[in-house]
Amino acid sequence: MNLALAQLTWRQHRAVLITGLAWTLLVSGCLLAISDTSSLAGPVETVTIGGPTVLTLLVGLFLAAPLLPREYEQGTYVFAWSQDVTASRWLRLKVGYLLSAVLLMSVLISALHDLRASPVSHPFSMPMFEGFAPVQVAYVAFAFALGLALGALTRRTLLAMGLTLVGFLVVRAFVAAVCRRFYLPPLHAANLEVMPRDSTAVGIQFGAGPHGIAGVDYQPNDRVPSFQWIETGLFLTLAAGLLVLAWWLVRRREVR
Amino acid sequence: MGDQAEDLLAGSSISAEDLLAGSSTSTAVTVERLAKRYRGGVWALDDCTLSVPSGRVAALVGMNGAGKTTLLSIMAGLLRPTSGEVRLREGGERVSLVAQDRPLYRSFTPAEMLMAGRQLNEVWDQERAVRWLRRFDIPLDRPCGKLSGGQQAQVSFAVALGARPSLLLLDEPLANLDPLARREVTRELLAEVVDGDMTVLMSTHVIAELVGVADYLLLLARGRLLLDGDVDELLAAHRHYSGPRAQAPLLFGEVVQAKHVGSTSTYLVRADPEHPPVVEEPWTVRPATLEDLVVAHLESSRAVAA
Repeated sequence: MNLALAQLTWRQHRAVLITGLAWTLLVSGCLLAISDTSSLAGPVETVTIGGPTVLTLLVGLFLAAPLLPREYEQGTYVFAWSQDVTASRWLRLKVGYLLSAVLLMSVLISALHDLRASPVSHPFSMPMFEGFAPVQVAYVAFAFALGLALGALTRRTLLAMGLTLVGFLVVRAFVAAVCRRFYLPPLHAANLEVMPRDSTAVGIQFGAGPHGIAGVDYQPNDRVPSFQWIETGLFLTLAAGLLVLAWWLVRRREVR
Repeated sequence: MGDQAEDLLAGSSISAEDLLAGSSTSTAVTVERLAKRYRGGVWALDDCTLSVPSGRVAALVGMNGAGKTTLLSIMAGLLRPTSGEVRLREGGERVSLVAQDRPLYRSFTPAEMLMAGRQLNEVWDQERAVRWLRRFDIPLDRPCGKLSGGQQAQVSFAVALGARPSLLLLDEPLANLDPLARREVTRELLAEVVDGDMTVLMSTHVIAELVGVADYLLLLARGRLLLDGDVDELLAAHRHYSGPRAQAPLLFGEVVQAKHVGSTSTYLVRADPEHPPVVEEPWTVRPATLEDLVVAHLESSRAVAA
């Protein structure tokens, strides 16, 4: 039992793993084929922009969300969890293999994306902010953990997949739109004219002043790397919490 | 004598001794005051105390809803009891369960199911598992989802036996097998018991399936043990007495069931097999079958409960 459960894990999830790998290679090829990285129009470029996101959703919806519900729905947990390997060890091993595999794919795809495609746009939002490779990898970990935990909670494949899709998009949008600009306390300027050039306004107070503006909150653009690491940490923390939740839900059923 | 012992003393000297002596080597598994309440308030098991002697083929008999599947699931470590405990033989018991609905990975071939069994177990006997599949002509390379119900059952047996259990739990093992396969499966299972120092506990509600297979009986009703004991001893102890219609029961032994039809009264009596009650004309005696005594005990317990 050197690589315990490796063969079984591969047999059960090979279809999704092969699909993920094929997508990773396709997107990587496209990224390497791009000659003009400043223009991102055309089908090849569309694939490269969507590349990391499609991988993330594939992992969350088709790999992690059905992992536990399929065992419950087909009754195979009765078989899988009544052998020598305990249910919680079964889960730890499977998650270990699958998460390693998809994180490797994600590292490849997002590192290439980060290097090759460099869109010039608003530094704190799509697609520039999220183009940072560690952020993308953290999204994949989060999508996996979210799918797994929702599967453990609902025990229904389709329901878990649907909730994972909605949950992932809502959390991502909420963090991007609401939380991100306050990772560090914003700086303040009297109006837009005196705000430093390389900064992004994150809040405007209206009142007595030029153009009816009484003050501006802004984040200097040189904070972007710190913010990207903070977002990476945030999603990795969420992922860890969800993995522990899924593990606890399975472990709770163990008797011996 | 405590409640537990009284509950258990439904007839078997073996299990009563085991209980009083604590864990004995002759007992594969003992459950004590086991209760399981499902969501919705249904008590599947209610203060259930019993033990299974090792090296035997024990039958767990009861009507639908008696708690058989719940008991097996708890013994297999799949369900947590609401209260009570399961004690396995000292030194541990390797427990395998063949569940009622024969869960298999539908896209896996039987060969891949054996791979899964090998990966999930620390002890694995590939040869034993393959031998079982070959004996019953199960194709090794067809997805389990495309096999017949009987073939799927054989795959489940093979995986369970491959794990080299010392305690094999079978939930309705002979359902969806044709009569011929049934006979062969029971014969092969008995051979495995003899070869492999194994205890088998099989549940069923079809008593006819047990004849010639089980040598120990555990009768479950409404989540409790109603009767247990060696099948031969139970058969020797139970007799039908028929005679002219009488209101007063016979004086010797325990009357399990009394029936009065027309001018005839029939009593099923349980007595010391060494000294069976002797009756005179016009009373007649005939032996009871396993089915007779199981049905009689179930009916009389229902009458008491009602």
